[in-house]
Amino acid sequence: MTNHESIAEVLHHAMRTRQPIAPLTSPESSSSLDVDDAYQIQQEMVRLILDADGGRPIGYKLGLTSKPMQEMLGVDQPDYAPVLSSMVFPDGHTVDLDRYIQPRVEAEIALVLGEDLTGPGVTPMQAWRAVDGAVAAIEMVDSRIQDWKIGLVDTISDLASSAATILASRVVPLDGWDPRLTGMVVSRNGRVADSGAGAAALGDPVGAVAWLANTLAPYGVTLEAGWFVMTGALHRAFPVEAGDVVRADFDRLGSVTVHFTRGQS
Amino acid sequence: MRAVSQAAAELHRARLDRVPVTPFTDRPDGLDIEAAYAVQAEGIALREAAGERVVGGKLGFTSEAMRRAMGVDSPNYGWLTDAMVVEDGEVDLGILIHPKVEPEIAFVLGSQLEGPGVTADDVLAATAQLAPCLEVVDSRYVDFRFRAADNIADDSSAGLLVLGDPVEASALEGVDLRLVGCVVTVDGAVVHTAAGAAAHGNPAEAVAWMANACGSPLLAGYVVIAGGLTPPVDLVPGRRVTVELDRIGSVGLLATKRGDPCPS
Repeated sequence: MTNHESIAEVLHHAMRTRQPIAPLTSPESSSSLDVDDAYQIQQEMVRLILDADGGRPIGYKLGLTSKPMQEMLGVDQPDYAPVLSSMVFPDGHTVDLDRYIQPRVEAEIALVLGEDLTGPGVTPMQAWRAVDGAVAAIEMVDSRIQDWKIGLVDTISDLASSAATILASRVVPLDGWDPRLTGMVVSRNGRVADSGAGAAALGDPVGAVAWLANTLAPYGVTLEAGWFVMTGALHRAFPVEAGDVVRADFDRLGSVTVHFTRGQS
Repeated sequence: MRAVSQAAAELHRARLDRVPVTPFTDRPDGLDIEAAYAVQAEGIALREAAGERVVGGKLGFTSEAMRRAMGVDSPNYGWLTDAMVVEDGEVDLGILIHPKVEPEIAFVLGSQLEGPGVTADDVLAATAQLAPCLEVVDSRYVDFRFRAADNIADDSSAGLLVLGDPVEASALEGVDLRLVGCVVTVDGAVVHTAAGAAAHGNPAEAVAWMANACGSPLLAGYVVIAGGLTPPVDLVPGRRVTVELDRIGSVGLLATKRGDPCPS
């Protein structure tokens, strides 16, 4: 087993047992993993999840798309991971928190592709033409690293801290409006928790899709027609408790809701 | 009453001289909210006596985070005069003490609003136009530090305002202002985003709150700015700040510092 495989095993085990592990790259550890290693570990982790749970990739997520998050981890680029069908749920879904470690939620605009998009050289305009429309979404992130003490290598390896994606069903065509300016209000148990607009995601959610297509090009990955891209949080992620109802209302896109409980599994 | 007049005169002088003062709540006599609004009213009277004209109102403390930080449970209000409206988008930092800027939604009233009992629906019905706005806030207190009552006495930190081209309210019929997106850029880079709900849960509710709280009618033609949608951005010479409001429009400012500012 390669080093990458064994680290992926450890992360996958942490995910399944809900027992978080120490950071992969703490100052005390002797490992010298870089970003390339991290994406290889991520690929191994994807394989392990698909082997265990079935399903397939049906999109991508972008992480670290906001300046504050990038500054916190000392990076100037986002990260990404495939979204797996076993981790995607419909509007109104109830999440059993016993299945996760330290989840947080963030509302995002998901963009659905109507055409394949293959980098390099994809422009925002080409991305716009390839996008079929936008969907209201909530991402629940989780970290298999203790207390969210993540560095860049940790979060990339750990499937970009993915846990669950809740997608509304309505795809709204980008017709005469700009997702960059689209407002969103997220509420927790009926009280406004935060708000944001599309530009929080890399300055432009459509530009973020172009960035992703170009970044994946060297690996021979095409963003496929029918896939969706979670373009990044529009506000600061917040933790949730059993009994919480989190709802995100988007201008033009409508709303998406997720319920949280414990002990259903 | 003499204390009220003295406080108003002191703040008026601080504004003209650009020399900040110690918060009244740090002084032995203190200041309560009621007296603070009396100081604010006297301050406005001093400015009217100097030739300024009230052209609207403003909301402050419309975010729950801000209210928690200040230990208050309601927003506050202040008044805007014609001298505070920046026409060309150039903000001369030389006439301010320690300015910051916040994006807001401006309501231009087509008919008068008079409390009590004004609702958000009444506000929308009375609104002729909506405009994007950058409010330059400033504080006449040392280090921008104050308590709730000080802030009220100081006209809710009102400084200057830069208004963009308005859109007719009739063109926004059916639009939920809570969901209108707001994007703030500094020198071209996105620094904050928000939606209308960041102002008191609903900017029209914020305006209704002022109409009910301020004890005098909000007149037709007034511009009422409904509260900051994001944390403030510091202004330094050369900095360009823009706000884009979905469906409403955008406006920008350029911070400058002229060599020898001339007080009015």
